[in-house]
Amino acid sequence: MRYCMVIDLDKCIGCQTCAVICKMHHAQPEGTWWNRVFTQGSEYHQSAVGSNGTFKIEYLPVSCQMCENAPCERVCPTGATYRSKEGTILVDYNRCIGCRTCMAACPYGVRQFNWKDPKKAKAEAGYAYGYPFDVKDEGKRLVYTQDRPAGVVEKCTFCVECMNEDGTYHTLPACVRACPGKARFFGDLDDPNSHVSHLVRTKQVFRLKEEYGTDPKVYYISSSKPKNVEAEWADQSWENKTPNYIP
Amino acid sequence: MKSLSVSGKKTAALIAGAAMCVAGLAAWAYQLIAGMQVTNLRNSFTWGLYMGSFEFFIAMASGGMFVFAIAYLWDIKQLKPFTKIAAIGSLASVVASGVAIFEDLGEPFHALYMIITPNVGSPLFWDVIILTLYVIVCVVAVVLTILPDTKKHMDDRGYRMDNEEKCRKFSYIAFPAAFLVNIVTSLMFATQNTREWWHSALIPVNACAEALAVGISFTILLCVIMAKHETFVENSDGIRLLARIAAAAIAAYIVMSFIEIIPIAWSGTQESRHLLHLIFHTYGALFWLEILLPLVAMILFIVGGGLGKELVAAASVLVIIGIFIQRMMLLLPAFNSIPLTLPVAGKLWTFPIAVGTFTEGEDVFVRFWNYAPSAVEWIVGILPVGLIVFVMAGSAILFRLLPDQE
Repeated sequence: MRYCMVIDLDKCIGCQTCAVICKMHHAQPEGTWWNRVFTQGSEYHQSAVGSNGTFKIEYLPVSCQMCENAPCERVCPTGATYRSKEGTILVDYNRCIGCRTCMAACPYGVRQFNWKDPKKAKAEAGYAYGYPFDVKDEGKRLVYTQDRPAGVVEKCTFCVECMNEDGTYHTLPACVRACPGKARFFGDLDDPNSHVSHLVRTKQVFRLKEEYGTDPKVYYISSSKPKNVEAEWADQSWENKTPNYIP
Repeated sequence: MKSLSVSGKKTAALIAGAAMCVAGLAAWAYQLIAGMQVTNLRNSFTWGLYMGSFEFFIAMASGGMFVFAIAYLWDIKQLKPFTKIAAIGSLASVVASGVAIFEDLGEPFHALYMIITPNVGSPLFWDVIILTLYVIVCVVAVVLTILPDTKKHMDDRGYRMDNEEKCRKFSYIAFPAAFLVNIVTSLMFATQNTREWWHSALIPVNACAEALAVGISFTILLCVIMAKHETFVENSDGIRLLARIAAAAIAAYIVMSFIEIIPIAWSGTQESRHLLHLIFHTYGALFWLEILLPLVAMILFIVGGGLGKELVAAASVLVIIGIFIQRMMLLLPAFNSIPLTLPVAGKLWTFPIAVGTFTEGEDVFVRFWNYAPSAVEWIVGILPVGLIVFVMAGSAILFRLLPDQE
């Protein structure tokens, strides 16, 4: 069993709902974001990129890529970062020494360090929320708790709290459920009949920074937006218009 | 104003070292209570002064053991007067490096898990192992060099000769250990293929050259500070030899530093160009300081071996500053060259990283973090320095570190 996520960039509207629901559901303190969405190529979110009348807006949501060959897992000196039997990269908060080597090793910048005691930070900010129960993988490894300790590293867990003891999910991850554009898909990559396997097989998908050999399990369905929106629309009728995939 | 006597200076140094340790410990305790938000490190820039100091003190710890080992392995008589001071300097430095890395841990109370549940594939795990072994190597070297002094009554029975043979045999362990501790430590960086600035097989080799340069310079500086003028002149052959070895190491370091940059420049990718911009523009002043300071020291070491205490001391200080800057430069361009980049409309676009804290009016997501150590970091960072001062001053009070030392 290897859980993976597929994100359809054509359907992503850059609304940040996935980022916000993740932050709320996992009780992330201020300044910490397990999931984030930005407009590719733009200094400011939701602003178009281009020149001479050829502009486009394309969003890119990025959270932990759950790499098969995860650099964070390999460098962790205590084994606090590990791969669960479902293939998810998790952090055992009781073992993390806060050396931050995993953060230096991760090419995706998704690992978040608790620079301040999260419980205090949230109390000072005047809010307290999030899934309230501790989750222990295999009955011993603390992989989710509402108030993580200060001085440890945390990140996306593919919503490990939504998982049953047998490794199946009773509820889909929060970002998948919350996405208003239904751009996110979640499932077992090893199951050839799963929807995610079908998408990975049949769609034009890419993964981030594959050249690092990390073998991520987050796939992106390439946006079919034409590179030059105005030119495409002027030159082609709707009937003849073919998608222009960005490699 | 009345000048201090030699013993008065030693006591003053001891008190100064102790004061630095107390200040550092107090700041560290504050950091543990308030969290690492008191540092100027953030998610996009995770290692700074503490990690740089760790790397630096490890380099400094190697030189002394190298001096100890070559003196006995090749029976270099000019160097033998310095083996005691070199061994103690190495021990103090390696303990300082251990303290520096602990200062960097967010949750140091979990450190035992490195033994209970180690990940043997992690370079950091092996670094801890080699560092621990190196502490033992330094302790043994210190004991071997100090033993004849503590049991003077045995001198008549040839105790010193026996001890010299033990030192020679032990040098077979000390010599490779001095290099190995640098190689393993630098592998923590060299193995990370997602950071272009670190991912180089030359880094461990260059680390050895840097370690020799700074470690020997540190030993020379200790000799200059602790030796009487007459003793210094008497043993100037040994100092001159050390200065020449340090000069050769500096030359190798400078050459390798530029060789490391050539493949980056050659690749011509947008990421490489951005990295070069960081090295030569954003941190250009620091880059040239890390090269020019040791270069000037190298010239002084070559031509000025007999120029006297002051010049040799000045050259040693230049190397120490230069290599400390080099250790910081290992971090500065690396962290500000964020690996998640995408080419958009022909330009390199970097995906911003959440900093991990919130300050009103400041960005939560950044592509560049202008790191400079915070006041708390500087005070915490004084602890390992204070430890070295304390250990060296204490040793000078307790033992006769150099011939004719008062």
